[in-house]
Amino acid sequence: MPAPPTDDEYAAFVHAAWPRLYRTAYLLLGDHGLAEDLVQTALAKTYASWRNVRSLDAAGGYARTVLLNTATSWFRRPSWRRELASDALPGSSYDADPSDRPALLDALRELAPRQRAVIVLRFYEDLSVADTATTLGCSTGTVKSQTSDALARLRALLGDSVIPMGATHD
Amino acid sequence: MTDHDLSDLLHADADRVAVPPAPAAAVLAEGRRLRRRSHVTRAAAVGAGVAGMAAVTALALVLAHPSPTAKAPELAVAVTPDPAGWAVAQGSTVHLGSGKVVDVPGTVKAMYYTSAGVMVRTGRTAYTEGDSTSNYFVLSGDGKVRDFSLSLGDKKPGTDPSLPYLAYSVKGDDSDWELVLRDVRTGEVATRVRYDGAFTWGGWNAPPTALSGDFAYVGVDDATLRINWRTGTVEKAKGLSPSRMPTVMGGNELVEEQPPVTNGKVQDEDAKVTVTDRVLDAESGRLLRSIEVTGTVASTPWPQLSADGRHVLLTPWRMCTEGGDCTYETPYADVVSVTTGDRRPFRIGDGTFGWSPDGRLLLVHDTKVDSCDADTGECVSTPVTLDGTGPLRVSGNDNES
Repeated sequence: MPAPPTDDEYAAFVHAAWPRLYRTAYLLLGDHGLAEDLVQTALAKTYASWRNVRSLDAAGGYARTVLLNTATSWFRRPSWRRELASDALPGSSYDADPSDRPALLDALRELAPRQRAVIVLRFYEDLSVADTATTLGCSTGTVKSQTSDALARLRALLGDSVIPMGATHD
Repeated sequence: MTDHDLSDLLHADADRVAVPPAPAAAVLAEGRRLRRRSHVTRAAAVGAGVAGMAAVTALALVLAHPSPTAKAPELAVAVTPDPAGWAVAQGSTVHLGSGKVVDVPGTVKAMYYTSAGVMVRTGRTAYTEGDSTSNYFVLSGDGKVRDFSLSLGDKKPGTDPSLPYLAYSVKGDDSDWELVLRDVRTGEVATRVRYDGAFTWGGWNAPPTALSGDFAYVGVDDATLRINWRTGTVEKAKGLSPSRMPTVMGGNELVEEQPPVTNGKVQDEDAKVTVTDRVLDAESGRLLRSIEVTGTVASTPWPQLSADGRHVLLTPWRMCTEGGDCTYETPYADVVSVTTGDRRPFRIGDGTFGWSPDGRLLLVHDTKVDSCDADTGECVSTPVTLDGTGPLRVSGNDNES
């Protein structure tokens, strides 16, 4: 079994990997508190699975995979859904500053979770349709239709000049 | 603008997102906790591998002393669980299987079966950490509500539908920990059992606890301990890995297997994944049933053990809208008999299922609750009117975190 990293080594990796993973998480979830929870969970799972990770060089890719899978699993967990459906969400430590809320990110938050996930996975993480389908546990046809619907929704929210017709990324 | 531009725009906007500091220490602490949990799934995957055999051998070791603080007299005998002892909560309103409807202060977040009635936890969140507002109430079948007046804090307690006890752990004086069984009928402590063991893996304030028959199970760093609360004997539980949350029900424990990954990648992302969940006899560690579950990494059905430990519900993939309306892509879930391995499909709805204290599948509809025999599919209906507000909670589910 590969030797696990020391606490200092893993802490250094966490600091290095955190910003990119956090941004992905925020795009997926649209909430700072949940994004922080998701990245923390992904990095903790990566640490816990060191038998498979084996080296710090591979840890970044592993953490990204875990983050995407974890986010997807969150979407289907009843308790998470119920909590999101309630008014009792944990408060965010990072309240919105209007100047820090670009229109595209605001529009992303208007999408249903799966549509938002499809956009983030395909246009931010640059996953293929097939990889996106695998990650989300649905068919490639569903990915395509969700992408189309999501882009139409973004187009309605932001205008054709921002999201033109034909931006299907297929 | 092209789709390439959309990607650029997303990256540019994402770069403007305020990123909080990385909580490295918290990640490490959580990682250690999960590492312990993952060990149990790997042990299940390798079956009777060398390491597993060695562990099983070592598990026969009696760890600790019978505690002189364990009290023998006045302890309750187990009774047959009340088939009508279930409950469905919506917000503050709780519909009992007896037909009574009661209200409790606050929103119901979790429910626990006891022989004295359903215990409900109310509070702001489903989880317990950082939330000091959780309160516990006991609802008897006649509709009486008793404030349990207990502030557990961030702990994971355990109950058994055949016993009137709430079991949990607290820091000990002469030992690392004490298992406490509190009688929900009186609020008094019925017995305490001292035990030792480092506990650093979990996020709770004390080792998480399950109660099943004469035994309580607690998860410490190097073992899942099986505590006979009647005699005070503390042993390592056979077959149960260390540092995990015990969820023993009806004497059985469900061990989930995680989808396989190698070198940070799912082995074949386009292929279906088959995992093997296992039901063990928690007292002996004996394998009772292996359940093969097929799906993708993200959509492998989620197994849930019934309140009597005799069935496993395989909940399917579900998706939700922004407004919280959720549906199952395939609204059918298989229920697997631990005894025979037979599977029976049931049509289920979003978060509207649970288990009765005696192990019948509960299916909640707007105007009724069906209590179904998981083997035959025969159901008995109880009328309810779910017209309140707030998310549903159906008893027999584990809403701990």
